[in-house]
Amino acid sequence: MSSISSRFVCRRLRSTRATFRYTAKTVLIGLSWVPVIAYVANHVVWIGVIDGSSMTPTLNPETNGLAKDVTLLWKLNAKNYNSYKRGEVIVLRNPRDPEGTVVKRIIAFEGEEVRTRFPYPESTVIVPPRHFWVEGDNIHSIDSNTYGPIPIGLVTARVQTIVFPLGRWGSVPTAGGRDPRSVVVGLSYSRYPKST
Amino acid sequence: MATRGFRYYASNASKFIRAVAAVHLLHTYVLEFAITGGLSMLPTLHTVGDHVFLDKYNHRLGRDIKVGDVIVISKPTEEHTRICKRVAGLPGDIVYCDAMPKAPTRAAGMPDDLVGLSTGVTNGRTGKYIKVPEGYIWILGDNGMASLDSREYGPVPKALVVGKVLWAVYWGPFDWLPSWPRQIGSNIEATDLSIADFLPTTPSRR
Repeated sequence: MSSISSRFVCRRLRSTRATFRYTAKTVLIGLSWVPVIAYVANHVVWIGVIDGSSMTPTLNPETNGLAKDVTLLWKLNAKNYNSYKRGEVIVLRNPRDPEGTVVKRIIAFEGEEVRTRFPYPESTVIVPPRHFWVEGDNIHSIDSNTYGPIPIGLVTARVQTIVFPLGRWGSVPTAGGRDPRSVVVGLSYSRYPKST
Repeated sequence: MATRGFRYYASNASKFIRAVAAVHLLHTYVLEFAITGGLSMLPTLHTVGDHVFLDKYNHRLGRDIKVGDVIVISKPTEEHTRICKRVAGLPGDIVYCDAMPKAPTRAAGMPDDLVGLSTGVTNGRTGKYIKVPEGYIWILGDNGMASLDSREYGPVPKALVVGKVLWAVYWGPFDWLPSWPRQIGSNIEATDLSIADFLPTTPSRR
């Protein structure tokens, strides 16, 4: 169908209704891919911008608050306790504010006796089953020394790769913050595999 | 007629992937139908055979949780496991951590996962009043005698909350048909008692 003006020939190749249907169909097909992207974002890998200075100088070394590191958040295997190694940097839900997330480093695993720092009320604590003792690399960070060991259920992702700035592109170093050898003072029971 | 080429299989595969992802999204973030088991929520939930509807969307990360809600959380001491308990304290509430009794000894034929739920062990919290910290909740099983809950785990972070139980459908192992769905956890709102109802009646009050 085409409409022709009297003055000059102006042909439309498609009616308004056909264009509307094409746009609607394209938008719906586009929307149908959103759950797939959501699945990848929540269970495989996504981009994360690091906020705050609790992991300085490993992440966000500039303290002016303007330059924020961009990292890859690996969510594959994130809820598997035995897949974590000492020194891995993880993203977890803030125990004191469920809406927020924090980025910290794993220092100790279940069963290990940990020498705590201010402001923890006891001088040593045994990490409960399937919990981590996490600390930020910055001495001023709010971490397990404030809220205690965190359960595996709070862990959301691993931070392994820095994407931006390009000068520090690459893997996040596994050493930083307190040396686990000075933190872990004993072993009550070693890590056990999943019971069933 | 040409054989079914790449386009046919690719388009069907992409439709399948999109459908599966959409269902997964609904199941994980909106509403889930889950099977429950165990003694710790008697008499609210049956030991076996209770299937519950979980409202995940409104209550993920512990949003809009009230005292008296039956919720499902990720088990703090075990991965890939969830537990179903009732909220007994919100952040700022003061709760009493009573002693956990030892579970009844094993009866012949009792399934393994129902045995020895309460250890009878006291910890640093037993017998004390605790103020629930900001961002945490205190959960208790309805069957206090056979329930591992906040008396053992301590206050539980709200971020572990998976969802709130709305309805339960009981389909017993020997029943032909499931029972009618029943609402869970709404009896708290129905009460209109006041503190005066719990005070002893003395001659001067009568």
